[in-house]
Amino acid sequence: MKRFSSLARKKERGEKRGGRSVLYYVLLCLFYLPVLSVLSRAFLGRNAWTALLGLLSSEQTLKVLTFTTKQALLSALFSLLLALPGAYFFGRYDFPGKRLLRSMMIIPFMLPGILVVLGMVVFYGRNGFFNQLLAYLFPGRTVTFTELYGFKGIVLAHVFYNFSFCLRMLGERWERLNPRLEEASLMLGASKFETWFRIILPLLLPTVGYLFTLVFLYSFLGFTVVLVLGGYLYQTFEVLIYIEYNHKLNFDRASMLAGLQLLFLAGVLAVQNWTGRNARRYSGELSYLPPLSLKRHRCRALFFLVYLVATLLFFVLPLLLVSIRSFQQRGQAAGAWTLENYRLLFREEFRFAVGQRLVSVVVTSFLLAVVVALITVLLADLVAKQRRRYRWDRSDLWLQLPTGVSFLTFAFGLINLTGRALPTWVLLIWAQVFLAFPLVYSILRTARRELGEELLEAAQLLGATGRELFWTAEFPLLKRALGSALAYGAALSLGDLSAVLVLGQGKLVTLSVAVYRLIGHYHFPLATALGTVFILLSLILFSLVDAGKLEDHV
Amino acid sequence: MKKKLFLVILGIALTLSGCLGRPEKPLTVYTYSSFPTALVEQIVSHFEQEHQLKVEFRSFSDTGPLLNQLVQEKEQPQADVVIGLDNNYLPKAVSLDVLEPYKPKAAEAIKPELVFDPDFYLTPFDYGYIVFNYDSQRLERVPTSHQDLLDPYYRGKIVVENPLTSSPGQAFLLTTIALFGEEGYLDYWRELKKNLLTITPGWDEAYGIFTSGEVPLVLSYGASPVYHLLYEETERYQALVLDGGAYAQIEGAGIVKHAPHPEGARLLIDYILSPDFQRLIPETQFMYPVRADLELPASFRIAAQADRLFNLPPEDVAANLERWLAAWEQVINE
Amino acid sequence: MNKDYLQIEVEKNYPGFQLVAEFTVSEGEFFSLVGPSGCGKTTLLRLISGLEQPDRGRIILDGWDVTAVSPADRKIGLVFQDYALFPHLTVAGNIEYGLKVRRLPVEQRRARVEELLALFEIEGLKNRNIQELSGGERQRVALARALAPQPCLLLMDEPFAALDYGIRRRLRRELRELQERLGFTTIFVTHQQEEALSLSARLAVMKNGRIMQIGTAAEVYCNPVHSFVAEFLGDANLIPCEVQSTDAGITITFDEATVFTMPGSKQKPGSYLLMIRPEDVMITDHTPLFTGELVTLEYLGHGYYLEVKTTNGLLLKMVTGKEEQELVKGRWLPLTFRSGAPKLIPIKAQVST
Repeated sequence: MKRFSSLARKKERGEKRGGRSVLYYVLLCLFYLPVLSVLSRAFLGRNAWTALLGLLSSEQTLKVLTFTTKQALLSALFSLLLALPGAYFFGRYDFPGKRLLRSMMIIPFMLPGILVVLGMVVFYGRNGFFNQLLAYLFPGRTVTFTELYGFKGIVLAHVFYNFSFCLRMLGERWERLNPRLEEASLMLGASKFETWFRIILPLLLPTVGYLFTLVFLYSFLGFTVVLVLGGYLYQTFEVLIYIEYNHKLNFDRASMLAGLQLLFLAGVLAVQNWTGRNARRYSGELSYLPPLSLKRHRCRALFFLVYLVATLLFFVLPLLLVSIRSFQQRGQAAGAWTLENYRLLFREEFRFAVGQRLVSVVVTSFLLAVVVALITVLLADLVAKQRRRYRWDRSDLWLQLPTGVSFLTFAFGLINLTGRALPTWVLLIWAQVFLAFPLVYSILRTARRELGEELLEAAQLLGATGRELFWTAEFPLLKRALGSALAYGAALSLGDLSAVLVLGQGKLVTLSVAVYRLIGHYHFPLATALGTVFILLSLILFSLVDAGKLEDHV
Repeated sequence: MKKKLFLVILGIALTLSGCLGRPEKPLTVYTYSSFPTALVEQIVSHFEQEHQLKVEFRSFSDTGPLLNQLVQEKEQPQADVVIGLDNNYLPKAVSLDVLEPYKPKAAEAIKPELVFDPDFYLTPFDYGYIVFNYDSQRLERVPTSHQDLLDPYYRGKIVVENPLTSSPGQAFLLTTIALFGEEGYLDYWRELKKNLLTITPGWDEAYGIFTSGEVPLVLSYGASPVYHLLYEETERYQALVLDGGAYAQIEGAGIVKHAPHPEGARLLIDYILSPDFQRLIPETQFMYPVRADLELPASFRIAAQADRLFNLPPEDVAANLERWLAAWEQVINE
Repeated sequence: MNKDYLQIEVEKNYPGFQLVAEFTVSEGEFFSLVGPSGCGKTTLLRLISGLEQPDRGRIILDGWDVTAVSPADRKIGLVFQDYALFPHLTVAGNIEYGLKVRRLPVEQRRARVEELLALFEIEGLKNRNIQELSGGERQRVALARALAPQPCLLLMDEPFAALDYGIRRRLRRELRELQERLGFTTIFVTHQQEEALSLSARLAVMKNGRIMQIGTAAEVYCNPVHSFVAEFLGDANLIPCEVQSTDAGITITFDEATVFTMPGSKQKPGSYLLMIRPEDVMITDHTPLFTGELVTLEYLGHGYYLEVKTTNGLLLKMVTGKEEQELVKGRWLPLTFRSGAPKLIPIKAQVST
């Protein structure tokens, strides 16, 4: 009886505050103080408003805004369209190699931009693999792909970055859609087409909408890829901010641009939140997935094979080609096979270029990634748990807004706010947690909400408390979501370059920084070798995380 | 429980920030992040052995953030020396009032044409030419002048860096102004634009595209081929001196105004001009030493040799750069 | 009434498992498929629904060969074990779904939804979300949704499995009444013998992809043709024996000593299993067939469950009423069978499994 009443009281307290705890507000402070410091610098200065008006009415601002929005919309659209068929197979069937593919899908997300660019150039470039293939397939005819440098190239690169991430997230969602629902619809007389439109799509829509917004934001904040492939004809806001901040040393104008960008993206998120307000993510359990067999689902299996080969060709091969070159002398396509580039990673050349030994770089990177992932998951899970009884609402939106803040803006605000009074690694973890929080939170929020209340209450009534409750009831059910959240948290940390460069002050060298430093010292072959090591190590890490979470599924 | 957890986190953060107070501050140098480790280690060990001084390096992602940091610390400077501000940043640094002039003892040994700052707010310590490099295996017609680059033969064969975001890019823009004048440089760019495959934000990407075989011509440094000769034993990549000259990027070092250790700072500026240190520069930085009395290593036979410099007076650059860049931006966007 | 309303004759092969089934269901009948999990009853249901295709054979519904017809066009309703209610639609939306996709006019749809809401006494839930419903409520909505398009045949896959015992019994009774009132033909799948016996007019007992026996509840319970059927539907004693024909009937020999005659019965001589339900084993005052020591005694409330170890080494299970007072472990009991209760199952029938 006593337990009952204390449970009821707890519930009441939570209800009054709408599930917003002290922790929630602390997180808001940690996230928004640096942002506010940028905004205050932008909008509270002298002549700020005249400058703002000038900026708003300038043709360039409008042009950049149009271009950025357009490419981000197209990138999001194509990423999702391409991911959809794959997500279907990942969500509906079991097949050999599924785990490995799933782990692989996080890789593009965290690669240093320069490696992606090199991959794109080596594969899609004028003298790239793709054009050589076309020349071989259509001899004598001039069928060439020359669109890499320009608008189409930018969209292609953004799709390259984001599509596999969409595939994985959507596939995981699809796995939780009860296949019985489709069958029920069929039995009630609906055609496959109608079932798709009336049942599957509405149920996937919240996830699709969320992913669309996410890819839109990531592409909107695109930087390296846009700069290299756009050849300056195409600029994003991020590029403008970077130029103002780093080269024109016009911090006020940089802040103002960052502020504008933030407001615009906050608007986008708010619209997404508003349109999706009724679209809840429905609970579902994992069901047994039938193995995809060539014999039983001939058409489907063949289609999937073609799809898989095509996506592997267009999205994995570019990176693979870069990796292959790391095994060739001087990193040249015509070079003899050698392990020299890998041997050099352990030599003084590496240390002289990078500043630290390979082992310490690897340890730093993965330690940082794991720490950031753990802190983010812990914080996100605590908030998600507190808010589990509530629908996705404005309070969650506040925690999602960091997606709309570029890292550059945040780092700038962080330095502005603390004046580097805190130790480097504290700033760095602060920044990376901020970077990873929205995605991690969204994964755990959905999972926590799906967990349902009955189960936790039942466990509580049975006498499970605190840690016990977590390990016996919550953990087994959340394992998958926690695994995914950890993987993405770690991936975002590993992939981050700007935070480490801006805040690390040369003392912290992670893998992506090392790649850049090697290139800065002409060691391109070493950089590709290191990139390959980076990819393999990450793959191992994610496979481990995925293996842990899939246990219950098998 | 959550409250407790939060307090613990807060506690840890506070303790750690409290640990910051150091009893003795080492001689502090600010530099950019790609400054060679070999040179850093040389300086550190030299000062430890000869002067019993501890030297600490902090590196910044770029010159912008570095200057920003100096401005923020103006009231209470943390750094003593800054290494790596080039000739184009001199006016900005001087106007921000973050440097202290110091004429080093070996000032006379510097090649006179490299002394871009007669007041010695910044002392030059190395320099390089910003020139095109070409891939001798992929380019049949080697250009000899900037005008040649406009030939349709080079369509899609050239990559340059963006003057707004990269210093080689900026140097090249200034080269075109030096050659074609304020009246002519925009027309030149209008034509050149047609031949550019792309304009990259930095040297890394441009050079990567070049070495992956996508283009045979790239804007790079005069000593870039030295690397390939030293490490890859190939002379495939060649530096290209167009119109017989080049733009020199001259890197300087300076003392921070009100530096905590002015004595040590002066010693450091003197040391980087010493023959011992200067001799290390060519094959670590792939730049030229500034001392006139040094012989270059054999590998530098492949590096560019320019008979004349296209450099504009720093005051002119300071006064007009923003305007020139804006006009360039317009032309590129046309 | 059409006796061959639904004719099924199918074969489906999986690696290591084969399903072969042949039976008919008459119009308006409530037919159950019962068997342990993994026996193929759900697969059979999915074959009938069209969600799976048979490798061989055909399914004829009301004279119409539906074997190649898509599930959407078969006019068969299916209630899933987990109900599979559409979580993004309200209760009314779920019920209306089958009418909507069949393009019924709005007025007709609304009227039908109201009708079903009334029929299942869930008018109050009309605009509720599925998440807000209890298990029993969900069950009703699932049934209403399946019945809304007036299917020719209703299939139910363990629809009560997720419910509490009390609710399950109530819903079971309601379902039976409703089925009798509306007369829809139903195939009901369950693994619970009690459910199958109480609900259905006829049932089929399945094992390892085969139908072991089809018949009315009483037939199957009292006259199992197979020891598995006997044991699956309630408790049974199975005693190996030899049968000889005599003029008067048959004699059954358990071992050299114990002989039991069944006058008037006819049976081919040979080896058999004698099946006797525990409630048909009685303590007797007359000449006992067996005597044995009471080794297990459980109080059931309405009586006792006993296990008796007989002198010839058998362990007989039996149930007695409350009236038996002096039952204590270790007591020797004289036992006999209720007349007409023992059934003979030929030993050779075992071989087929």
